[in-house]
Amino acid sequence: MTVFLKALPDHPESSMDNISDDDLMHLSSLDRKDAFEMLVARHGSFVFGLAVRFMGDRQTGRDIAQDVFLSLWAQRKHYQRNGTFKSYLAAVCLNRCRNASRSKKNQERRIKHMELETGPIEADVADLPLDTLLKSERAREIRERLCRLPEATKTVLIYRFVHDMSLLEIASLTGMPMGTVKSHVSRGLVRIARMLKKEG
Amino acid sequence: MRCLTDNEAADLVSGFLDMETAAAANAHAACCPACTKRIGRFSDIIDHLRADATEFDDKSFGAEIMTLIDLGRAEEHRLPQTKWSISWKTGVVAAAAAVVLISITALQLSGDRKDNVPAANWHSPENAHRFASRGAADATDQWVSLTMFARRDQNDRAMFYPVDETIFTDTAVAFAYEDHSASPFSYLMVFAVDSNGTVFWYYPARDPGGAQMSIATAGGREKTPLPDEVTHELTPGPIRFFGIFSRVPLQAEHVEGIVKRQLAATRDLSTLTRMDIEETGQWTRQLAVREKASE
Repeated sequence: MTVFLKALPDHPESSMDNISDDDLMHLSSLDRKDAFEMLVARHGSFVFGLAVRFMGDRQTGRDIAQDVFLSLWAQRKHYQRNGTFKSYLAAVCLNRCRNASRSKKNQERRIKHMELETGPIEADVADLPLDTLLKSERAREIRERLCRLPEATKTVLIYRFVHDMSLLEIASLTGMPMGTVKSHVSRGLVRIARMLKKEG
Repeated sequence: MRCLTDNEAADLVSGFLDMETAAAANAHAACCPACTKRIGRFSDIIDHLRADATEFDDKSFGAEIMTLIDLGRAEEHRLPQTKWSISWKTGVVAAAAAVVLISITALQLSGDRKDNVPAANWHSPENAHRFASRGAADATDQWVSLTMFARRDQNDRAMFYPVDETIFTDTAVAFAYEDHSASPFSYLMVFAVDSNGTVFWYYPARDPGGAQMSIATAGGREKTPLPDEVTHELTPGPIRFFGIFSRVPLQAEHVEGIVKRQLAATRDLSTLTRMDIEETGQWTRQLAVREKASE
C-alpha cells in the first residue's frame, strides 16, 4: 500500500477510480475528503439499501446509512484493516440497525411510517394504473414479511436479492459457509411464502 | 417426478438445483398446475424483494454526507465497538479474566478428583444439555453443545425461550451451537428420534428421497445460532434430540439407519445416549412431547 500511495498524485482532482477501498480509507485518515467522497460514492447505495430493507422504512434506513458514514469519517484515523472494507461497513450498518430496532421510539416511528406509506396509495388511486397499485401493495406486503425474519436470514436475503450478490460474495461478507447461506435463502423464501399464505 | 416441496421450489427459483434436477423439476412443473403455482409464488416474492433499478441510487445522499462533514457534524458521531475495533485494553482485561477463570476451574477440578469422580463423567447424561464431552472416546478437549429454543408468539412478536423439559407437538424449535473443542468440528447435523423410531430432521432439512448431508459450521467458540426455527408434527411421548458434530459431512440417510438400528437394539430412548459414529462430538437431550398447544 505504501508503495502505491507514494506513486499517487497528491492533487485532489486525481482520478481515484482505481484505488482500493483500503487505500482510500488510508487517504481519508490523512484528511483527504475527496478519497472519502469516493468511498461514499462506491458504497453509499449498498449501505443505504441494506439499512432501508433491514428496517423496512426508507427514512430510518437513510438516517442509519448517513450515520454509518459520518461515524466512519469521525473514526477515520482509527480504522484498522481486517477483512474487506465492505464487510466492515456491513457490520457497522447492521449494528446500527440492531440498535435502532431495539429503540421503542423507532418502532413506533416505523409503524407510523408504514401507515403513512399505505395512505397515499389509497389517496392517489385515480392517478395510478391498477396494476401499479397492486404491485406496490404486494411489494410492501413482501418487504414487511422480510423484516420479520430472523436477522441472519433477513440479511442474507437482502444481500442476495436486493444487492444481487453471489453466494460466494455473501459467504465472504458474512463469514458463513456457503451451505448456510443457501439454507438461509431457501428457508427465508419459504417462511415469507408461508406468512403470506397464512395472513392472506 | 413427484410434486416439488416448498424448499425445492425455493431452491429452483434461487438457482440452487443442479442442471439435471432443475430440468426434471421444470419438466414436471410444465404439466403440474400446483407446482407451476408454487414456483410462481416464489418467483413473485423474489421479484418484489429486488430493488428497483434506481431505488437506492440517491445522488443527494453522498452530497449530504459531505456537506455534514464540512459542517463538522461528523465529530458528533462515534462508531460502536465492533470486533475489529476492540482496543488493546479490552484484550488485557479479557486475558486477566481468562487467567482467573482458569484458576477457578483448576481449583474445582482438583476438588472433584479428591472425590474420585472420573474426568470423563463430569458431564453426566442428566446434564447432557450442558457442555458434554462425548466425542472421540470422551476426550475432554472435544466439548460441544447445543442450546434449544422454543418459539412462543407474544403480542404478534416471535419470542424464543430456552427449552425446559417439554415441548408441544407443534412447537417451532431453534438451535444455537457451541464448539469448545481444541480442534473445532466442521459439520453438524441435528435430529430427534421418538420411541416409535421416527426420525425428525432439523439440520439438514431432509425430504424423502433426498440425499442431504451435514451442514457446515462456523467452527468458532462463540454461540452460533442456526438459521431458522423448524416445526415438525411430533407425536406425544418421549423424544430424544441429537447434535452430531463431525469433521467430514455425514449423510442423513446413513445416520438415520444407525439411529433406527440402535433404537431397535436398545428399545429404550433413555439409554440411547450416543450414536455409534466415530470421530464425532455428540450432544443429546431427552424431552417429553405434549399434545398440541391450545390456541
